[in-house]
Amino acid sequence: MKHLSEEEQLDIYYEDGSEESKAHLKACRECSAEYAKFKRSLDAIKPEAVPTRGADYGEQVWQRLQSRLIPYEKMAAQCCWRRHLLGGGIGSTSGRVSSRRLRVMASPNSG
Amino acid sequence: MQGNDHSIVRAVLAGDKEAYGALVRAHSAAVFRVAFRIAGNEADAEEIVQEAFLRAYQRLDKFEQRSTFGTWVYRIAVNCALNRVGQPGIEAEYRYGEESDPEAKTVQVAAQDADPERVLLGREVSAAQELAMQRLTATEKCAFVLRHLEERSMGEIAEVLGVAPNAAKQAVFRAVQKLRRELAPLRGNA
Repeated sequence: MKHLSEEEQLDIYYEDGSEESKAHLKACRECSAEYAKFKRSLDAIKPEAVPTRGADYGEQVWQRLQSRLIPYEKMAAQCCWRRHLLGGGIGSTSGRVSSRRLRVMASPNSG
Repeated sequence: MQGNDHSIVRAVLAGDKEAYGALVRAHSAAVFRVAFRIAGNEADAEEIVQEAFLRAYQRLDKFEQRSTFGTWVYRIAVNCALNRVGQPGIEAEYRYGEESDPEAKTVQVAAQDADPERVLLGREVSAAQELAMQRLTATEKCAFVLRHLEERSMGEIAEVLGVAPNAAKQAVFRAVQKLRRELAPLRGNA
C-alpha cells in the first residue's frame, strides 16, 4: 500500500485533499499517526498577534496619504504636459491642447 | 459596501480626491494586518500600507469593477510587502533574539500565562518561529502567510503572486517543509 506523501498530508491539512487520500488516511494506522504529528507541527505555527490599531487608524492613514495624491483631472493634465514636453504629444489633439496651455502659462501676461 | 466602493471610485476618477479617504478609512486595518504578517514589523507594515494605497490611487483607472476595491488593494499590498521582504537588506537585518520590540512580545505572552517558565518558553518558541519565517524566501513567506494565517485559497494566492496555481502550491509546500524542519527541535519542549 502506498502511504501518503507529505504533500498529500498538506492538502488534507488545508482541506484540499482528494477523496482517495482521505479514505487512505482513515484506513491506514501508520499514515494516521504520521498525519497527527504533521498536524501538530503546523497547528503550533500560530500567527503573531497583530498590533492593535485604534478605530481612527484609517483616518490617520488618510491624513498621511492625502498630500501625496494629485486629483485625477490634474493628473490627466500633467500627463499631457509631460507628453508634450517630451515631444510625444506634438501633432496629437492633446498635444495641441497642452501646447496652447503651455504658451498661456509661459506668457508674461498670464499672471 | 461593494456597490458603494464602486461609486466612490467613480467619484475619485471624476476628480474628487477627498472621496478616496472613505476607501482608505474602510480598508486600512485589513491592509495593515496582512502587511504586518508578511513584513513582521510595524514600521515596514506602515510603509506598505501607505505605498499600497498610493499605488492603488495611481492605478485607479485600471481598477476593474468586477472585483471589490478591498480585494484589489489587498493584492497590491501583498505585492508591496513581497517586494519589501525580498530586499536583501531587510532580511539581513534580522538577528536571532533581537526582536524589534521585545517588550511588546513579553507583554503579549505574559498576558496569556503568568508562569515565568512558560513565559520564557513562549518567547523562545515565538522567536524561533519568527527566525524560521525570516529564512524563507519572499515568495515562500508570502504564500505561507496567505495560506496558513490569512486562510486564502491556492487560487487566490496564485493570482496575488502572479504565478500558476501549482507554483503557489509548491511555494506553500516548500515553506511548510522548511518551517517544520527548523522548528522540529522545539516540538519536544513546546
